[in-house]
Amino acid sequence: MTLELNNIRVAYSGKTVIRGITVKARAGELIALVGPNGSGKSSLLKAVTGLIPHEGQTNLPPDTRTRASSLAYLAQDATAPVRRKVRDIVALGRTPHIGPLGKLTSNDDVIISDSLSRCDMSEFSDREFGTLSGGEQMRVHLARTFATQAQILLADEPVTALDPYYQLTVMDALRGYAGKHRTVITALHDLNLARRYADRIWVIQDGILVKDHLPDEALDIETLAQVFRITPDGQSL
Amino acid sequence: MSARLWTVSLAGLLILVSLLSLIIGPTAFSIAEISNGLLGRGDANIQTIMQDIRLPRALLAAIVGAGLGASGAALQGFTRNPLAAPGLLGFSACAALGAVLALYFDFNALITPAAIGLALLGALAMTGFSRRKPGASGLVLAGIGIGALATAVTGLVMNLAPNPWALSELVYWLMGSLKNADLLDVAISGPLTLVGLTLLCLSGPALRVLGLGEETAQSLGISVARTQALIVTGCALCIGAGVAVAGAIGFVGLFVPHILRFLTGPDEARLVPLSALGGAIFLVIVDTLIRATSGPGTPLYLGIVTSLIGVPFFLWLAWRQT
Repeated sequence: MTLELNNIRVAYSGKTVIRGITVKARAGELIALVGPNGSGKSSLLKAVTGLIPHEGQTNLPPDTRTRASSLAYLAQDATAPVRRKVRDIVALGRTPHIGPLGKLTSNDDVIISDSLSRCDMSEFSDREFGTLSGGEQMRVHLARTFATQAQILLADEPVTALDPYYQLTVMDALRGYAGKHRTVITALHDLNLARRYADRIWVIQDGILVKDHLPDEALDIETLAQVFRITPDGQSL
Repeated sequence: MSARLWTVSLAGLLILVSLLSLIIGPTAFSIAEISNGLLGRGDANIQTIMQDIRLPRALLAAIVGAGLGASGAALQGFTRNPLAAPGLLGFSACAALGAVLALYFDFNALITPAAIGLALLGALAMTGFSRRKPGASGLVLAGIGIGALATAVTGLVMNLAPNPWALSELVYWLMGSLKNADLLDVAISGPLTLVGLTLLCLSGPALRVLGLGEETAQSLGISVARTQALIVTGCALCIGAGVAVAGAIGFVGLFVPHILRFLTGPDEARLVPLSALGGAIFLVIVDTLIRATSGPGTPLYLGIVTSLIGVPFFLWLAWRQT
């Protein structure tokens, strides 16, 4: 599914933080959303998810429940009750597809097992969430977003607090989820990871989308200097 | 042990303790005398004791305890705050203010509608104050504030009591007791509590998802505002109906969900009905012990006993949190 954003604007307490972003993300693309701290990455993802008031249009269904089944969101500060079992947490990803009483079908069980497997978490299925490391917990959250089977997945800095090994496994899982038919947009701080995994990179600065290009074009010398205040070899300017 | 087995076991235990509460009392009766008394046959005194004292007290203790337990579980689940309980978030204080106002103005017949009305008004005020951003932090702040206001006005009403007898009536009433319970109270509080429990149980699946945080829950299609509305209305009905017939019963809504969470696991959706059963069992046992051990003089008050049991638990919980 192609995600279309048309003139998205977000303001908090009179201060505009997203200033009219119009852009498209196509099916099968993994897009890295990069920009300095406070540039508006999280606000854009929250606005598209429908978590904060915004102006402008998207091509997502307006109904909250229908939207929830076509768009999955992984929050930056994702949390879960420490004593809940990993499988029970991943099962919550099926919420948009199940009835008001929360009953899971055998098809839901298959999807949950598949989501755990995609994130290499099958063997942790019966472990309590609080007993896992930070990297394992992030993969549980990722499996939960996968279980929604949404056509679009938005992840807000999913690898920021992880060591290099888990950063790569999470990015691999996101790449695998996008496949050929789904769209993944992930906010990242690590520009090397963005270059390595993204099909396209959106660079955002002060709430304005300044680049929507292939990785090498998006992160050219000029953009690195003007937006990130660094040189191509990582020195600060 | 599965949730279904826990539910069946607790329901069985509730039936058992309720039957025991009909048997246990200062005066011992045979099983035949008890069943005859309940069916309106045999000795008139036994009929009176069974139909006007033991049966309504057992039923009301179960009803009030169920409302307190389920309310505490739903509030703890919604706020993700282990200290949340109907007493701390203002529901009990609002209902108590309604009842105290009815007592003060000598409208004893209006105690029940006043308690329920003020509890619902408090719920409406909490919803209004947290309208801009419904959710845990808004509800906690609004609940504590409104509860403090209701407690202050209750204090003012007691301060203005015209004589020591009126004041003592208010004080005794606030201590919480089922000693004046009758079947009319059961007929009034039973259906209201049932409606409240239904609303709280309906919020269960949403509470389960809210454990992931409000933003994630919203992204999964959960309406935080709708869930909050279900919970505050359910709590207002359960607590209002309970306070109207039993006065202020503290701490049951705090520690019953914690004990059941420890025993049965952290599934907030299942915890609401399980806590209703747990609260009912606890209050039936405590009230039966109070009734059975009461001698001449001032009887022990139910609210005092539950607080004496609950306060150490609350302090232990607060200590663990810090």
